[in-house]
Amino acid sequence: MFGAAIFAAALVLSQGLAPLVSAQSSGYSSALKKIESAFTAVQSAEREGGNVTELVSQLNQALALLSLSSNVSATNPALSEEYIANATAIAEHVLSSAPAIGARGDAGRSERTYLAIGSSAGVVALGSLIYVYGELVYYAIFERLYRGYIVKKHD
Amino acid sequence: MIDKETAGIVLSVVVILAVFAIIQPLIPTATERFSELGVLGANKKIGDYPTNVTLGSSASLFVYIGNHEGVVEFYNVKVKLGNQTTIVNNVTSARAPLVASFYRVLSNNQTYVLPLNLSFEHAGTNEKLIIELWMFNTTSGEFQYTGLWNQLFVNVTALPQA
Repeated sequence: MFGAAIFAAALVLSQGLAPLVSAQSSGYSSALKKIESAFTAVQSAEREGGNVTELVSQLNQALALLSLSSNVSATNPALSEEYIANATAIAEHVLSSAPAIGARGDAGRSERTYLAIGSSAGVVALGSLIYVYGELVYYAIFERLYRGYIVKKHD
Repeated sequence: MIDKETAGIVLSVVVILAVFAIIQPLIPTATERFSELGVLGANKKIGDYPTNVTLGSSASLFVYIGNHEGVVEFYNVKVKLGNQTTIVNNVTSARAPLVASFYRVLSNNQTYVLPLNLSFEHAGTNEKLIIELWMFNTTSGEFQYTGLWNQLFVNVTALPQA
């Protein structure tokens, strides 16, 4: 989608057009600030262990809309504002969703840590049991398996 | 049968390896963190860059960016148009007119190829097209220059008068 948006907006490079890039509308700047805040929340959620794949995709959708708004701002200001409003709405949605995803990731990470500690303790306990009782158990099984066997002495 | 001492050693080694295997995913790995910036020609390969462009016609190229920073990152690709005296290096970004700016959020180990379609409105020799990669710093709340940049020299020639 982003790629298509860029293709749609053939980049015109010229010194004469340079001010068009720097002089973005206040709505554009405000939406970009909102996306930056949403990104900060997404990065924080990822650091907590959350799966942010979907949020990243939504942020890129918002950025694509912002790019479209920039492209049509001169020819269709109303449509440009609509794109900005949609981009802002997506960013706000991401901003509100990120903490919950981060919290879920944090809980999942704690769970995995406890599971690993428990598993490690289990392996150590099992090893200790095998060390202490292994021989006893081995011979008990051996005796049971070969109970009917007769050992003959060969000279 | 193996003696008890050998069995004890083997058992200890097995236990240590098993415990290490279990906790391995929890140990943070110290890998090199970096971002990537590359300019690709019209065929999405290194080379075949537009060097001579006729005024009014367009030339295409691609900008490749990659995130290996270990976390999701927010990138800003800045395209600037300078001249032969414009200074740009891995510490200082170019002081030249910004002609285009693109944003992209990339997950860790994700890459993206950004298509650019260039057309110039003024003729010139050795026009320096500078492409810089900036990254959002969540601590300062602003984009910071990564020190990654590329440049292309383009001769823009006017159409011969009929």
